[in-house]
Amino acid sequence: MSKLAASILRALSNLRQNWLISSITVGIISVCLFLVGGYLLLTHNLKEAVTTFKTEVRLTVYLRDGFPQKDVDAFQDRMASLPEVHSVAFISKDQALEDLGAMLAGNQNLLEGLESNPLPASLRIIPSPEHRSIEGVNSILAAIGDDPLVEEIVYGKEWLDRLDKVLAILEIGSIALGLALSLAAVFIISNTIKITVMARKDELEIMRLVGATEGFIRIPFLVEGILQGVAGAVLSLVLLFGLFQVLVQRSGPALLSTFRLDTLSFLPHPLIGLILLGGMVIGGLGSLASVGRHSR
Amino acid sequence: MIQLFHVSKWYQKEVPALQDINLHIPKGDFVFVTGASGAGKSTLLKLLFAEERPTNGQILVHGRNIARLPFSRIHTLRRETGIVFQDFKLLPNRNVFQNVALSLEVLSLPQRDISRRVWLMLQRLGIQHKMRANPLTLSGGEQQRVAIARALVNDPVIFLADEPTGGLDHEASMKIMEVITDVNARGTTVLVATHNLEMVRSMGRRVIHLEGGRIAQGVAP
Repeated sequence: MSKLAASILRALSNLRQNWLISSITVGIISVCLFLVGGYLLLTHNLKEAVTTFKTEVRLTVYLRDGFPQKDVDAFQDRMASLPEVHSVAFISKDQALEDLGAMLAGNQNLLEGLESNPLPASLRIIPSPEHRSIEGVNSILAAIGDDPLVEEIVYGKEWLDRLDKVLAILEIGSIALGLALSLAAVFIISNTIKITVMARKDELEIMRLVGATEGFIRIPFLVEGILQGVAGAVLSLVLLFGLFQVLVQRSGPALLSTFRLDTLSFLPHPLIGLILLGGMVIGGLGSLASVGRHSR
Repeated sequence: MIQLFHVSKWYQKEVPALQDINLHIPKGDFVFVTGASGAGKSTLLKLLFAEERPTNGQILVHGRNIARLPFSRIHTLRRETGIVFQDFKLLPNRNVFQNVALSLEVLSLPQRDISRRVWLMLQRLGIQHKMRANPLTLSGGEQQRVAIARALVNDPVIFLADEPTGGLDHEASMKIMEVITDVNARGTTVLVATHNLEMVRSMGRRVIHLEGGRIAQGVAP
């Protein structure tokens, strides 16, 4: 049997012998990673919601009357060719009036008596996803320049400014809070492991007295730490998924309409992998560092 | 063979635990280390299995200078040294058999060899019938036998015992000393630290007496 296989067997045997303290460690790791995972789940869905809000970023370019259609087509083509632009739609004067009529459903008498169509034709420009910000909109505005065709451009400047600020706060806040939460989790988990190792300091001492190498002592502890970390991470993900399902079933529709989301989604695979890896690394390194502290 | 040259050990600046110790213990010798509490008996033993490092001087064990033995090589010394303590240092979450087997597990021997050697050692010490017992359920004398079995099962060339009969009654103490005498008769160099002078006198062996960290009397140069 290889030394590694023997170490893994000894780690499993140690976990069985110290099952109570091992279970407590797994429980504490799972609670910590559950909180980190819950936070990741929240920010993940918030970011999805913000992405949905951003699809509403658009510019409406009102056109002056009296220009030939070929000039309008050329202007539309020029806009569509900009890298910042996702799509351009032309809304004729007639279409604009029809749309207004639809919006005024039930009060169409307001439009009766109009001698001519007062509404201008317009282009509805939707920026490409990566340019749905104040900078993206500004660069489209710069590309439009002082075109004589353009009478007015409307793009909800204040709303866009506010959205950008909210996004910046969310981004910085999520990183800061995520870091703080992760550090707290690392601190709690490493201290829990330290206590479990301290509880076995007699075993460490005796193993050294009978001539165990540091590798012989440390590898099983490393394996135990990794197994406990992974078990804690899996447990936290199962709990989180269960809670997520209950939440979606009980208050899913309300949440969806609040955040204008099509669907609430669980953690994507990279984040699930991150939590598993986090458990593994914290468990393994925490264990190894604690054994090292008892080295002479 | 164990040799100490001008060995001193200071834990604090003011008080030396050992001072200018020169010793020569031939292979296969049986030596008692005596002295009052704090005389330096335990420190001397700790230096011999590299639990402590000397502040000054050199220590040769079978020609190897253990004062300069790197941390990563200490296990090689410990594998040649059987160590027994007054408080036995047995693991309560392992049974008698598993406690003794620990000395062979660290050598990564096949399980079959470990089982055979542990069984033979328990038989030699007369505690084979307790092999499945938790050490905490045994008497003091029995626990010390388990500790001795663990120290001897890997055939050490040196056997160190720090107050092995401390806390045991006279009868149990004499039985433990019989076991240690037998160990020595098989060629193992034995050092026993004790303050049981009555026992030391009855054994008629070489004595190194320590007083205030120095060798006081009965020492072969």
